[in-house]
Amino acid sequence: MRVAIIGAGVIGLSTALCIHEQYHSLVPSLEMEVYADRYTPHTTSDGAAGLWQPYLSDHGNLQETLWSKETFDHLLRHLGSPAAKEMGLFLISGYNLFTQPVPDPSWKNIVLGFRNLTAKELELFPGYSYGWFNTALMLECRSYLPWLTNRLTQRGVKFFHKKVESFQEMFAQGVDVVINCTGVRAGELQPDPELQPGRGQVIKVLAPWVKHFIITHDIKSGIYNSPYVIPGSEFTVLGGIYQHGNWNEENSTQDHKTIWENCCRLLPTLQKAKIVEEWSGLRPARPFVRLERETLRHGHFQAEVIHNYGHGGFGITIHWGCAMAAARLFGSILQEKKVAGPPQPRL
Amino acid sequence: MSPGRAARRLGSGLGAGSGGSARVPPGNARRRATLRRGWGPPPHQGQLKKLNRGCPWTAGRLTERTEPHTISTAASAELEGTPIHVQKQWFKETFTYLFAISQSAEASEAGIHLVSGWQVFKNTPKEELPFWSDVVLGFRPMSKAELQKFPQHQFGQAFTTLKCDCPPYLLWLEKRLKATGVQMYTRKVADLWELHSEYNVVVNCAGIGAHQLVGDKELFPVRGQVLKVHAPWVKNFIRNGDGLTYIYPGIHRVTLGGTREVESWSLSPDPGTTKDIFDRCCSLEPSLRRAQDIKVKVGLRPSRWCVRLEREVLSQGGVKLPVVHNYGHGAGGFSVHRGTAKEAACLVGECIAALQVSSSKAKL
Repeated sequence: MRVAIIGAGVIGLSTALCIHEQYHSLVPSLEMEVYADRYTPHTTSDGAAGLWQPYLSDHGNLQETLWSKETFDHLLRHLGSPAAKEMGLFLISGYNLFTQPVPDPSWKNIVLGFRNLTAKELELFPGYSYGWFNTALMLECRSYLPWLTNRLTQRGVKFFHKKVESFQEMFAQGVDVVINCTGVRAGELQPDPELQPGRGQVIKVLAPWVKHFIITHDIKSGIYNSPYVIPGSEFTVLGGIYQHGNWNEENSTQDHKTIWENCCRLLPTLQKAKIVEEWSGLRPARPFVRLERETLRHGHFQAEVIHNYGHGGFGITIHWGCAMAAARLFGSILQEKKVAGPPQPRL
Repeated sequence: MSPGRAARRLGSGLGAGSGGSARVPPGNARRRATLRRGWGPPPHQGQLKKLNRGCPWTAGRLTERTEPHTISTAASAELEGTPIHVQKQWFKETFTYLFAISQSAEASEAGIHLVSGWQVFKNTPKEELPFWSDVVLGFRPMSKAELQKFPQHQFGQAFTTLKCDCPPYLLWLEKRLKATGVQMYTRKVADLWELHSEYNVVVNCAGIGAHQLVGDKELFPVRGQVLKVHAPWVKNFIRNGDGLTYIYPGIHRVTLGGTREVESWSLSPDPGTTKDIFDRCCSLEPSLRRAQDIKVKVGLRPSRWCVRLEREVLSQGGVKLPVVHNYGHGAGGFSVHRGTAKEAACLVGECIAALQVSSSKAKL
């Protein structure tokens, strides 16, 4: 049974690990391969700050909230483990700021210690009159992706540096199941008008005195189009750009100016921060995540694809729940092929 | 008569013309010495400049050791002999002062930043609301979910407070003092009386050194050993309610503590203690096992039943030397320093007023 994962961002690698962990002992013939033209540190995931936080509203998409919760709980369990540092996983507290009262988010009971801001705390942020404080998790992909890669390599998973041009290419070389984790470029393998780039740009600075994340929201301009400051283990990420439909991966001087001025206004202490790097990336935006099976027929044979893409700006936040769901879909494929018994309950 | 007017009168009395800007020959200039060991209240000198604009000042600061060797540990005030309402006043003044710095562009240079975290208790404390709970930000009991991270602890408090990285803070304070013309001298003073011919007023912030300097037997050391480690993923503070185990993330390093050894004068790091501190902190925050580059530091908290914050007049052979004492802050120095500095500044103002009265009496 040959399984090919296309895409080596957080979605591809975590889905690979999740499937391998659950099925390698049930399917002795399982051979897993990862194909990607970009590996860490050049994936979209690498550019993200790594803060676990879903969008403000799931738009009735309860399934996505549940996958995000599953991810949070899974990561929280790993916090005390010796692997946490290597994974790039740690707790972080911080602020979400608004110019007007808003309803509580769907994730208020998932994070730790969620509460409204006090009047005194709001004095920290002139121009904002309402907000939340909570403790969440950081998962830095520049550590997490290498960690996942190591776990997969230890399990005998093979990696190929190659751009896959079509699903047929995979099936023609004998792959039985393809897991499609191609993110923003999924449309190149199969047209998907609902998938659009949500271009973002960030400035990475040295500001180790900043210990809280600060995410501002402007309901009118939409998610991530308002300044945010997210301190990592080494750098602090300044951002606040979301351009729907913009495929340009080059840094823009105008966006740099917007980010820098807005973030320094939000947090004057940043004026002394040293700029280390600038980065642009394309969030794989979609009205909802595409996580489903598809049976492709080609002549006599049929092959299975599991799609797992379109995670927008919350890929890290939702990745493990999606990986588990993809693994369940894989289990149903195995059952149909009568290759294995029912999947083991998750311990 | 206000101190300002008296100063001008003195200035003009010495023949240099009237007005606050009169130049006074160096021998007659008002001079104050502030003795510092650790990081006493330098800010108050700035305040005095504001109080007495009419007086030309030369102020000297004498220190025995240079700043990077001095340790301040952040902790809640433990000044049992000082009334709670006074401690609270000092705490509030200090918090407000540092809060303003933390929000300004100077924050990183001054080493002051906000930090959130948890204080956890193995057993629910009698007093669930400490006196400073409405001074810090967002104080509330920890939720059940938050407490799950600390399985050995039944109760906890979450809040946001200020952290000071003291080496940059002291340097920042020094820079501000130098900018106002304050002179710094590195010199060991064996006896306050040594200074009587050079200075009009002495402010004694000698910390634990006051034990020897002024023979204060009520002052005793409480030895503290800490580790400074590289663990930049630690963004929250964690403190055990007993005050013995704590994890405080600074700008570049995380401070792991600690010990409270009463009457121990030893400044040498103890390796057994190092291991004990490390193990206790790792049980609160397991990821610290991966911390790198562990450095050990020792300091002696200048403990006293209450802070000695008072005036004294030393006299020998008809010559008087007014002294303002400001030492004995124990583990609470950082938390109350601005408050005690302001009070010391008032006391210095009183000394000056008394000097002016007595010297105008002398002229009459």
